[in-house]
Amino acid sequence: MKLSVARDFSRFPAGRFKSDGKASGELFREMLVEKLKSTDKLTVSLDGTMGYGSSFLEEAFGGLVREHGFTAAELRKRLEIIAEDESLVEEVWQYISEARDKGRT
Amino acid sequence: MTTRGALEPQCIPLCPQGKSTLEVVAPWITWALVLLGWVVVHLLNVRRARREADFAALRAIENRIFALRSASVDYYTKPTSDDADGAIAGHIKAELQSIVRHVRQLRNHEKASGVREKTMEWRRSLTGGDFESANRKALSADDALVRTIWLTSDALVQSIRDHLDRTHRWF
Repeated sequence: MKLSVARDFSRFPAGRFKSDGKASGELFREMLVEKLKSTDKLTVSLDGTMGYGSSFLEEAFGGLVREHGFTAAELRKRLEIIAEDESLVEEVWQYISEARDKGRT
Repeated sequence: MTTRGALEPQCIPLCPQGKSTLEVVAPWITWALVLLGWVVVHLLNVRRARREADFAALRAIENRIFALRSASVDYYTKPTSDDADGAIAGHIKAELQSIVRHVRQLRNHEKASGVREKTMEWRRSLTGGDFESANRKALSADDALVRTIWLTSDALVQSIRDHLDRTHRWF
């Protein structure tokens, strides 16, 4: 299953919590969780938006581990992140790895 | 008819009568050396032009990184205001994305793992934590986050400079 942030969520992802706006990391994370319930393998494309804040990415992806109990190993198998900017992909996986031990960053 | 001695160099079949092999080949060697010299000078010029272009691109990127650093520090240290904040945060993210795109266009960027690492640290410092938070409080100019923004911006610029220096090294 494929999910595009720009096409399926918002071209303007912004903020961490629902209280920060309609395109927050928390809301996107809820979308991710729903998709992961219905598929074994989810591909998420980060391209096409007007840029990301690290706060959004950390809440959306790090929150999968911190708030929903996914393990980093499980997400490695089930989640594929694609983006033209490889540093963005690496940053997302860093948040997933760090989330269990450090909490929000 | 001239009789050739056993020790005289044998002329190749196409040699005009009376000329040694060296006399026939020497002009060709001269032309080959001239051509080689031209190729070497041309390659050196191409290399110099590439270096100048890359370092001009670096200067442009540096200016944008420092401008974005200032905009980010302003964002974090001024009191929040919904309308202005949204626009400024949007500008920071869009400009950050554009700068990263230009950095990725640098020569041999795929080998620049140090640049990638510094880019991530820089992005985290500018847009992590309370970035775009509705409850964000204005920070003081000597706050740890403000210092981090300065440090990561400088570190990113230095890593790009080091990468280009390595790319254009002679040996």
